[in-house]
Amino acid sequence: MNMTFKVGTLLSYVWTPLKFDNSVLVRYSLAPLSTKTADINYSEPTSVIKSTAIIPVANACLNNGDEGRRSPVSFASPNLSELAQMHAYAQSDPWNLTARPNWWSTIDKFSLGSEFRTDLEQLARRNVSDESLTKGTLSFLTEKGVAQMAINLLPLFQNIVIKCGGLGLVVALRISGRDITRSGWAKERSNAYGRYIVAHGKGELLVLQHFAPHVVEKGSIVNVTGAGDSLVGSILASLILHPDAFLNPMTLAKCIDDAQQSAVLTLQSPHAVSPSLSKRL
Amino acid sequence: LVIIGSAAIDISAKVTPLSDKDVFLGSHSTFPGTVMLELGGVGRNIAEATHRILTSNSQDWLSATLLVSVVGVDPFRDLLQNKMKEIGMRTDGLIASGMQTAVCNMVLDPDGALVGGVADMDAIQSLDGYEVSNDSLDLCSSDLTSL
Repeated sequence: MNMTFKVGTLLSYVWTPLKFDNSVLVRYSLAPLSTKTADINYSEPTSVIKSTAIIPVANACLNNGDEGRRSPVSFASPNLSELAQMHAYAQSDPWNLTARPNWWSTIDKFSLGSEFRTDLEQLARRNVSDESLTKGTLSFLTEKGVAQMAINLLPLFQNIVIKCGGLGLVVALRISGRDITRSGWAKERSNAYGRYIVAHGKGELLVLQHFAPHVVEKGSIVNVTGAGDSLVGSILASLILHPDAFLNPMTLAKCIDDAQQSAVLTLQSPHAVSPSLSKRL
Repeated sequence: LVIIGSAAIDISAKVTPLSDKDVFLGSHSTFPGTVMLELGGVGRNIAEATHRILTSNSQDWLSATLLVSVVGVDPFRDLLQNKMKEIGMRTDGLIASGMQTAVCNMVLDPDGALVGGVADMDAIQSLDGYEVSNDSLDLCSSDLTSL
């Protein structure tokens, strides 16, 4: 095969659902990847039906929450329906995620208590958008259990980007072990104005942040197909250029903002991916 | 970057505006309109977006994005390959199989809303984990060993 990769290039894998129930896949694909700390793997759920395919694989690789061990899957980007489906499936027999000791050992390290609940309630009172007040508040985070579901899935997925359509994006992420010392989140406190919550646990840091939707002129939407794909493609490009993008507030904000812009460009294009993504943002 | 997922041809048919939209629905007949051919598939769309953004940063990234997918040996594959090459995307991750290249066929009303359609996407399901991990690891073996 023609080898065109440069030595030292970040290798990352994106899984869109295949036959994930195939045990061969577990042994031959995720296992060798997880031994390499530089690797990133990204799972795009694709649809509600397909979204659960990754759960058995991730579940099989769920580790015991030892100091600094990352989640088996680095990134996932469900929409709200896919998140609910993935969560329900992970909870169901035979996976029983939240009944597993390995799950609890990670969750316990987040040390989520009354302070976290107060921060979350405060965040939930914020408006979805500062520019358009018709979109309501972030109450869906608590009322629909979005925050809770995302946190429950963090031992399986290190970073979860939840596509909330007109309600913007919610990012839930955990930073483990030694990564904390090089993370800009380490010195941050929860900030409702900045739309984020930071929980400082024991060898674990948890971040939950909302990103307001970009304002799109009503008449400018040509075709909704592929907008979410462009969003994911942009996040991947950011991760290739800055593998630690999610570890710092500024770089995460830039990554998500670029991704939202890419999605809007594709909304305004008749194509599945807007050719204007080739013009540097 | 290896992206494993579907690559498909989208064929969408949009009816030209009619005086009475209801005439079109359930008419058991054909109507004048435009039929468009586009590349699609979630995996391929993501790969195109990543490829476009990375190469807009630097030409060093021209070959950095590899889409691994299953296609058939048919004119749809030729179309997929040609169009992807036009954009400058790699096509060496498209694995030929005995299946038909995935096609999604959609019928849209004059406003662009989906009336119905058929998605023939079995090809990607034929790709199993063993095959993916081996093929993609082969494609990137220099990369893996360097890490």
